[in-house]
Amino acid sequence: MSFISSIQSFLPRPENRSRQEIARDLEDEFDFHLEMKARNLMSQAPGLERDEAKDAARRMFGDVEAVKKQCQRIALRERIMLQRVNLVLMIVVMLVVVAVGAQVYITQRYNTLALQAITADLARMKFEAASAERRASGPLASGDASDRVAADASRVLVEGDVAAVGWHSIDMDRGTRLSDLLQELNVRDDQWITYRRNGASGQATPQLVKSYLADSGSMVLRPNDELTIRNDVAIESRRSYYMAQWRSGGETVMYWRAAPPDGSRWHMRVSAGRGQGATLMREGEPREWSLAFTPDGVVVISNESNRQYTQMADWDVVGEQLVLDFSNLRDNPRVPPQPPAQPPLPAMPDIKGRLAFDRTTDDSAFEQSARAKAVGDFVVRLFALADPNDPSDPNLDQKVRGFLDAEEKAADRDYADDPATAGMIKELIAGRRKIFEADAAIQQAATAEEKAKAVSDFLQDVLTSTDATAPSVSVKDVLNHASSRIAEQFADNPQLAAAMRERIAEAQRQLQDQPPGEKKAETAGDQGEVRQDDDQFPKTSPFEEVRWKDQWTPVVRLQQQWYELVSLDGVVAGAIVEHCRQHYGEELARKRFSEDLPQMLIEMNQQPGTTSKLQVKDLRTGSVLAINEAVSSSENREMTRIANHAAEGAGKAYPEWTGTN
Amino acid sequence: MPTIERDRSDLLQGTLDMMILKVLAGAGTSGQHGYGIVRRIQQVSDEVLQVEEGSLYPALHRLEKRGCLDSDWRQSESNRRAKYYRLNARGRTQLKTETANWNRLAGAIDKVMNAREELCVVTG
Repeated sequence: MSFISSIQSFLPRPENRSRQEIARDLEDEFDFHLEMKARNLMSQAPGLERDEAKDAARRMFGDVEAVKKQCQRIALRERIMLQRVNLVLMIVVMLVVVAVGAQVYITQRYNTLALQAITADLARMKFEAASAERRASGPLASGDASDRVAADASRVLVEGDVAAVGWHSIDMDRGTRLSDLLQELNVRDDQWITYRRNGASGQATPQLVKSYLADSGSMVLRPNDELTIRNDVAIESRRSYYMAQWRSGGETVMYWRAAPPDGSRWHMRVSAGRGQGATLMREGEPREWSLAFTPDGVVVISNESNRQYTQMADWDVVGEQLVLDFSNLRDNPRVPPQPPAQPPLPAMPDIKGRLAFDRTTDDSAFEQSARAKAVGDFVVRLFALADPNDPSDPNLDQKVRGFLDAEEKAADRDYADDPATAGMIKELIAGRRKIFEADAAIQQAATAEEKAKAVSDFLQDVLTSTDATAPSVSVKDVLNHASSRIAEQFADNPQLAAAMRERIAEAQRQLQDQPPGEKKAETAGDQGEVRQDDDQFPKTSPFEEVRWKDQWTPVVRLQQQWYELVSLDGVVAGAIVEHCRQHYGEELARKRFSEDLPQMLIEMNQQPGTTSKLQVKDLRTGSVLAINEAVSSSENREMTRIANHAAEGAGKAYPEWTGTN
Repeated sequence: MPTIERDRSDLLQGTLDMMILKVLAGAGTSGQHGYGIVRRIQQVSDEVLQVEEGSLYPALHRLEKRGCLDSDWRQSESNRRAKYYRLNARGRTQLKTETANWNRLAGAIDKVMNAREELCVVTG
């Protein structure tokens, strides 16, 4: 071997490829490897899908991208080093030039012995140049640097550098003794050491590391090695296995390592990337289980297809083996139950070769889509009526009403040949109108309730202001007194005032038609009630049962459904209840309402029939429904009476609505 | 004696290069690709030695950079483009050196193990 070729063989091979070419080559090389691995897995497990095999191969390989980067660094590192070599060579040349100059100078002035002394100093100068380069990159590791120069000065010059790894500096060419490092870091026994090099890793307790170092002499950390010290690790070590457990991200992580005993092919790797869980693999089988150890001593087994930890199994450590008991697989309670599988959607018809507008075919999907578009357009037009910047537009209802009228006419015109679509739009229009009706009913009910309360308050006020001790106070006197106060009381509601006057006038006319003995009002304590025999009234009820919400709101049962009563034959429920309270006191009011409703209505100058027109509110949605012919029956009344008795028997003043009846 | 448990690849840290060189020495001038090297080591060791695939390629590329291996791209037996590595003269020299070191180390360990047995017999 020639001198030149010897030098060339010592130097690293020059890298002629570009960075992109290197990356491409690595991509191809790794792809080939994974492909071969996948094929091998598929040959071992017939039936394994190709994609599954490729996934398994990639998992078994480890972090492919990290390894690629590592290989790329190796390829490019030499280029960096060559640059350094060039730099250093320049320095050396300069030093040699200086030395030659000095030599010439010395030759002129000194003898050969002096020249030898300067040449000896050259080695020291080389090292100083390298040391300056080191200091620029980081602190030097402990040790006698001059020893290294003496041992292999050229390596120091070429590779001399210090790489900082985490919290410590590692000597580039010599490494750092792990024992020194552990001592310097004061690693405690309850910590946990992870050591990683070139994608491979080892983990151990500090005691085991120290024992190993004591036995084997030394272990040296090198640049790009990773050494991690974890705190708060519970470690159990035994003769030939150890395990560690720590908390990470709220999860308990266990690391287990054991030499596979004879015959056992189970082994486990910690998934360092995820920081939790472990992967259990069975050699020769591509199937892979992901495991996580929970504090209550079970293994959570992952299903590869969706990575859901769906099942649990018992586990135990027996001797040197981790034993998994798959005989007792059970659902993992931490995973929420999966919704039942939806029935598969009907297969899409094959429309290949068909024209989208070919109406001669039985293209019901096309018709449906056209109908859906028509309905969608209608809804869009409806929504366009509202000004998004003014949601409280007072004219919106009016606009919508006009829109519905116009759309109804347009539907007949535009879809004259498509009655199904026209009918669907009309349905929407009718539905929107029903909303208007319901709103109006609610408004009306609220107004009627307000009026009834006003009248009730007024009458109460009138009666209270009447001298109850006067023996000859007549109904007529009371009415006259009330009439005189109407204008004052209802100044802000002339319509109501007029209605009141009319009612009072009618009452006064009726009084004139009655015998004098019956014109006497009861005392104010009886609140002017003209009593009649209860048996004269029908004992019927339109309700199967009545319960009470918030003390005074009747909730009624109609055909097994519960509703809040809004009104009955146009009389607001609150007014009927108020009548009962005023005339029969609060103790009896509910009973009278539920068991003697016809009588109460007659007392309120109503004429109850065999059917009633009800407005009731749906308790879930709050929408108001109209029931036009609710039949009043003695059976209903009897059921209501029995329910009242049952409540009394249970020690309740009345049947309460609890919201879940 | 307490031992430190390590990944298999970690156990092979010092010997992986040697085994790669050895496998390629057996492959001759046709060489072998990375996957083939892994399979060969596993087969020859009766599946006892498991080469961490993530460690193999950095080792291969490092050996190539050091001038111990030559490589070229060829069509593989599966008709895919694959990178084949071959041992060269420098690699053969390196293999001899590493083999000698390994034999020396194995011999030393053997001596230590035998010495311990004798000690047990004496104290027992």
